[in-house]
Amino acid sequence: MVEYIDIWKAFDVPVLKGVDLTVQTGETLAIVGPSGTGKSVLLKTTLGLIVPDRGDVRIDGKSVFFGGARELRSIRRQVGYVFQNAALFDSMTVYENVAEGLGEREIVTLGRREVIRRVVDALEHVNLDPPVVMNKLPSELSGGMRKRVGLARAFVGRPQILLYDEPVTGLDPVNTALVHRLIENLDDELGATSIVVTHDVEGALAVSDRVALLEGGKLRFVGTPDEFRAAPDPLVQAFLDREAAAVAAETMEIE
Amino acid sequence: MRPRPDPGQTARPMAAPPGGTPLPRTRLEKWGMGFACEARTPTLRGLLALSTRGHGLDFQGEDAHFMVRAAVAGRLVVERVLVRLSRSAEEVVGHAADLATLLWRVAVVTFTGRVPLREIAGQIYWMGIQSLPIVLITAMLSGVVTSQQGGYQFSGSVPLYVLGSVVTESVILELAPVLTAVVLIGRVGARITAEIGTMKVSEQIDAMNALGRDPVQVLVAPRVLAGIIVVPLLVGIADLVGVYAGMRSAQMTVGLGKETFFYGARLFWHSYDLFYSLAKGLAFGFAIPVIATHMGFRTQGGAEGVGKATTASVMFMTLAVLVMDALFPPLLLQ
Repeated sequence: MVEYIDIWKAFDVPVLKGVDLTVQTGETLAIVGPSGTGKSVLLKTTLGLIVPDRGDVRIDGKSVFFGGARELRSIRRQVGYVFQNAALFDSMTVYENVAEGLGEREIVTLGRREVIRRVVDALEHVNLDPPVVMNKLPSELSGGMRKRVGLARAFVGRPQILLYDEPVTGLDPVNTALVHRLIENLDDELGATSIVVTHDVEGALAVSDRVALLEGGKLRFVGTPDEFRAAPDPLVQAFLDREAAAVAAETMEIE
Repeated sequence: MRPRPDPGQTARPMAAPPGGTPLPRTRLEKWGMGFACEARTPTLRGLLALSTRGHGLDFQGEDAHFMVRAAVAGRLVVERVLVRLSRSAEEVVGHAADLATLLWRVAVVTFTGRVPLREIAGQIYWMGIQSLPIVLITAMLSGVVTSQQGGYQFSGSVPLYVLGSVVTESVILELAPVLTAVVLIGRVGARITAEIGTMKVSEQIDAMNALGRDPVQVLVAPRVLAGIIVVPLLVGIADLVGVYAGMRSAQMTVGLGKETFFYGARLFWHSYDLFYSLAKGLAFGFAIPVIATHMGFRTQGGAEGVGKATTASVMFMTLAVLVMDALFPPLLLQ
């Protein structure tokens, strides 16, 4: 279970203003909202990558910010994080990048053959051809391929919690659908708790158990996808309409 | 910072100045009248007195309008200066705190033996072996220039064997360590800052943390340890090359023989000088990677941020090397 307790964060201006949110074990929660509203900041607080000005995050009851360095390391080992721009290590090959997701100890314990097997398996899961990409550097891949390598790195260690920061931004429709299916499968296979930050409202509604709308640093709405669609809140409706408008515009462009 | 009062809520309407019309509300807000709506506080009275000193103006008189404006303008200037000062102070304190934390973490991972040896070896190769050509060229030229200028100055006035001492002491005490450091700032320090800065802005540092890897262990400690090992060695090599180049130059330009050159060099030679030179190398070898990595971690923004951080890093490293260089004589040569 992931609990966000009264999270406040300001950079030059306030970004998060007292966010309280609980994500149950095995649940998939999508966080949607306009740009600059603090979605990624909230996600980064989950692993202590951004320290809030006030509040705490608890993972299975363990405090991220008040539990000490050892506890934070153990928390981080059970979480997989998909970064918005993949954040692959430039100096490492695709194979090394994905293997990093297993963790230092696992790499030693599993042995080279098992590590390769798991990396190959993870790459196949994200629709990449392992023999073609394994020895390439991130700079030799397209943006979409980098993103999928980032996804493979996040789940190769079979984490209990998966955090996705804009997992489908920059992907083509085929790979977008693949990532959505992957999120659903991982939830089923690993029983993982997933938090998906996205602009893709339709995708979020398709894969999530609950949707949270973050607006102006506060939670404006939390509910099931059906409740979200039916919500009378004008902002929720405007957000849905805006997405519909974007989809329509995209369709027109393709035609 | 204390939030600015909302003028719309806190500013009270000011009485019309004698014989004048009331100041428009918008102007009052612009001047921050949240605090200056009534000049009855001791602070404002003080500021009024300050701003009207020498003008023979009386706050209660007809020039009240002007004086309120003067006071407000004065107060704003003072406020702006204080805000800038406090921001600079915050920045300095932030740098100091981050640097102290970084050094502490480097010490912890080093003394608990958690620094990957492969990383240290890689950094030694890159910092040491790959920097060797430019360090050698710089050392050689510094020896040649010192020898030629000394030869020009001493010819006909001072016994030429003194040139051996001047070249040897100049190169070993000053030129080899400082010029090696300056070369390494450009070649090694700037690259470290740019590399770590790029990793920071592209979330690679975050990814490292998220994967349970300690960036200090992987990125900082190997570079600092490599710097401590490599830079004194490079300085030692630069000492030898600089002196040798100086000797050969003296031979070719003023016809000073090898024996005479080394006779002069031995006259004022103390073996402590070599220790002093290597100690400088050690200090610079520590400071360069520490500042470079620290500035890399503080990088913000995109490509522009990396550029700014690298420039600032080069500036701080150069300043640190020159300040340390100035502190060495009173500390180790007295």
